[in-house]
This record gives sequence, structure tokens and C-alpha cells, in this order.
Amino acid sequence: MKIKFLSSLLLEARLEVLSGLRTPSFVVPAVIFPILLYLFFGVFMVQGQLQDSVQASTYNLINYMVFGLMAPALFNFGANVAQERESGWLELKLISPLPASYYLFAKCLSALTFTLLISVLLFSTAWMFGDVQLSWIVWVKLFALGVVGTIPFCFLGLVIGLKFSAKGASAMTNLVFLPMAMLSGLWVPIFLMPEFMQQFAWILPSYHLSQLGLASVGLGQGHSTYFHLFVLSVISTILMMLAVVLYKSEGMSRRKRHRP
Amino acid sequence: MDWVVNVEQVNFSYFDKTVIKDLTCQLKPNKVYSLLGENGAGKTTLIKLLLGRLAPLSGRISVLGHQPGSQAVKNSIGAMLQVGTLPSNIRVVEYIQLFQSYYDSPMCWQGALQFAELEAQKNTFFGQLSGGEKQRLLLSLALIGQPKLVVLDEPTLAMDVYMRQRIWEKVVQLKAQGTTVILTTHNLQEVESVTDQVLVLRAGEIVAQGTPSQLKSNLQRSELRFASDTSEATIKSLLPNYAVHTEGQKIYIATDDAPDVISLLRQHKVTMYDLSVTPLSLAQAFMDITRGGE
Repeated sequence: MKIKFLSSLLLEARLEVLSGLRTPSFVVPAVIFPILLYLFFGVFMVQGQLQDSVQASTYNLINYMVFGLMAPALFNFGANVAQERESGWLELKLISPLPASYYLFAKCLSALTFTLLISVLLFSTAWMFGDVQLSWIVWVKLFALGVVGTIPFCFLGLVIGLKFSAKGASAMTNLVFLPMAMLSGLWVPIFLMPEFMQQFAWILPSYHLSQLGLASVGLGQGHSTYFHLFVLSVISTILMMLAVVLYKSEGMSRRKRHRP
Repeated sequence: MDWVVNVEQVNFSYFDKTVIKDLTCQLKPNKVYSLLGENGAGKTTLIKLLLGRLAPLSGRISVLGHQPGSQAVKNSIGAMLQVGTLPSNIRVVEYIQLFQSYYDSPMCWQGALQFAELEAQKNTFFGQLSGGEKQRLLLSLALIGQPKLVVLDEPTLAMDVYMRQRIWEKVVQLKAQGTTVILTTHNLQEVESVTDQVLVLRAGEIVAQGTPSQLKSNLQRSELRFASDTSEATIKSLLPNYAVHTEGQKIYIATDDAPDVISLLRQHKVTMYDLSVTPLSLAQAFMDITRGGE
């Protein structure tokens, strides 16, 4: 990374974050919604269930952390990239001296910032109101998992943003986001779902990410951590390669060339 | 350096549609060039080729002595393109500071605000700016790197007369500072006073080139206007290579040889009442040439 553009990268990321925070229609569902859902399902609903409340509170905390980090990554890349591509804003940046990849780095940084924000708010809520008893090492592990786990969703969002028009990308992001959350067991524990619905989870990064988090507190489904890491890496690599192919065909990293 | 831009026998197609055809041109430093042509004439494609956003299928392009799109060119070129919209919740000053960070030796952001006459709007969100203010912000983003070459793609689009005039004043100011300016427009009359050279594009080819006054003198054309009992279709069949049209009761014919046309029509017994011959305005003459009339 060239030092000269480091300040540009930080400025870009700062503006991305500010733009998100200044958009209530983004910030309310992306930041507030996971906290509210956690308060409802992870705090109020489990109060009084003495035997299971610690497990339920912790289980929900991890699932809503994964749910919370998905939205900024998917929407920041998916709908935003498509919109900026269509409006010509991206074109202006691509003819500037800023290397094309920095635009994506900045978006990634802003998604990670939202992950940090959501994680801090969610963890604070769990610590203050939930029946969550974790050692500080586990808190740190979960925090790190959330940050690293944002990346595959950035790639997925980028694939959507590069493949679809602004309107299409917005719809497609919702179409991916909500079923993915559902089928990964982020809302309803996966073992409570019908057998055939559980099968979809194998190909979903959100499932493997949540299982990694749940395994760290002894609440996973029992598959090896290495297995989840492996599948998550494979899915991330496939999404990254797909994004690179689309990125190049869009002429974002090299010049467009049309042949008759 | 002799040329700021050197284009040699460049061809470009979008799939099976040829957009730029064997185009050759050289642009000198410290001049204002206007690319004139109708929609689809190849103006924006040529701009994208110069900016390195498209690569030619054949031929060579050099911008400021380098390949278009190279880092050296990007640092020395500024462009104001036809941008639909920028993110609406970013402030004017934030956009300017962001673009300032991209360049090696940018002008100070206060200078850019002053140039764009947006000091009072510096904390205004993009979405709250008027159309003219948005265009001026885009202009300031194009100029903040203090470029040697500036590309302005229809810079006065959707602007009122006063703002158009202000933009042309900015172009004159840029030239005075030693910057080469390439601008695209549909309307030569509007840019006549600021343009040194005009390149008229039609179907990806340069069909006319020169100073506005040279082009004007080459386009000394007249318009015949008369009422007639003869139908427009008959007159068109007699003059297949001329631009003939009817407005109300009057028939209009654009020509560079009015006496010959009148004599031909008389030979074919075409009645002509209230005949008048008037010189075509520059705009009309260019409309003819860009549309491929005679």
C-alpha cells in the first residue's frame, strides 16, 4: 500500500462511515435492529428461565453479532457499489490518481468500523442486561471473529454490486441477506428447523461463522472448528475470485476493452 | 512537448458498432478545444479513450507523453464528466478535501471553494445544492489537482444562462493559467468565444476542424425560403442531396449554391412565392454538418 494514499484511504473510509451514520434508513436497521432483537430474544425472552438463560443469552449474542455484521458489509458493497457505478461517481474516482482498489479497501474499512460499533454495542448490552458470563479471552475472541468474519460478506456484497443494477442490487441484497440469516439459524436455532432446511446452512458463510463463535463458548453443533474455518475460507475464496472477475470485466481495475 | 494529446489512426467499437473510425488528431498545449457533434457522434467515447477508461482496438493515443490511464497522466489530468449524482449526504468541503488528497500538488481546498464560488455552501450536503452548484462542485473536483489538461464533458448541461456564462469565464481563466481544455458540446455558438479549435465529429470521424472563424467561413451557407404550390415530396425528389423541410406554408432549403438551386427549381416549373435567400446561422450550418447534410 502506497503511503501517499494512506490519508486518502482513511478519508474515504471516514466519509463512508459518516455517509452511513447520516443515513437513518441505513443506520437504524443496521445498528439498532440487532441490538433490539438481542434485547428481545436474548434478554427479555429468556428471563426467568434459570436453567437455560445463560446459554440462551450467549447463543443469541453470537447469532445477533453475525446478523449485525452482515448488513453493513452486504449493503455497503451491494447496493452502494451498484448505485455509485451507475451514477458515474465511481468513474470519477477511477480516473483520479487514487488506485482503484483503494475504493474497495475504504468500503471494507467502513464495513469493519460498523462491525466494531455493532459488536461494542451488542457486547455492552449483553454484559449489562443479558445473562452472559464469558471470560475476557472469549470476549476478545468473539470480537476478532466478528472483524475477520465481515470479510466474506464484503466479497458477497461486492459480487452483487458489480453484477446488478442499482435497483436490482438493492433487491438482491435483501433477497440474500434475510434468507441467509434465517437459514443459518441466526433467528431460530438451526436444530429446531426441518431437516431439509438445515441442509442449506452448509453453503452459507453466516452459518459457519456463527458456528465458530458458538464453538468458542461450547454451544456449537459439534463439528470441528477446522471444518468451519475450511468451509468459510473456501466460500470466501470463491466469492473473492468471482468479485475479481467481475471487477476486471467492469474495467475497475484495468481499462475496458470491447471487441467486435 | 509539442502535443498534449496525440491520437493516431484510432479505432474503437462497442461490440459490432464502430464508434471511433480511424481518428487522427493532435492537440497543442494551452489551447481550448471543443468537440462538437450530435449524440452518438463519438465525443464521450473519445473522452473515455483519452482518460484511459477505454482502450482503442487499434491505433495509438498519447496524453502528455504517456499512455492514457497511467499514473503520470492521472496526476496531470482533471475531468468533469456527466455524473448523475454523488452521494447526497457528504458535504461540499468533504468532497473537496477527499479529492485534494488524491493529487501530488493540489490547490488548497479554500482555493478550490473560491474558484467554484462555493465558500458559502462549504458545509452544505451535496443533496441540498442547486443544479448549478453541483456542476461547479464537479468542476472544482476536476481542477483541484491543478491539472495540465482538463476534460469537460458538456459542462453547462442543465445550467441557466448566467451560470453557463460563469463556466465559460472559468474556462478562459484556466487557459490563462496555461491549462489545455477539451470540452464537448452540442452548441458551438455558446463556446465560440472561448474556443481556439473546433473538432466536429460525425459517426466517429472528424468531419471538420479549425478555428471557429475558419469553420464559419467554410460554412458560408444560405437558406432559401418560399411558399409553393408544389409539394415538399416533389421538391425533395428534385434535390435529393439537400436539407429540405417545411414549416407551415413555407419550404426551407439549406444550400451553399442558392442561384443554381433556384434555377433548377425554375427549370422544373416549381412555383416560388415570397422567395428569400438568407445566410444560415452558424448553429444551423453546424447542425447540417453534424447531421450529415450536404
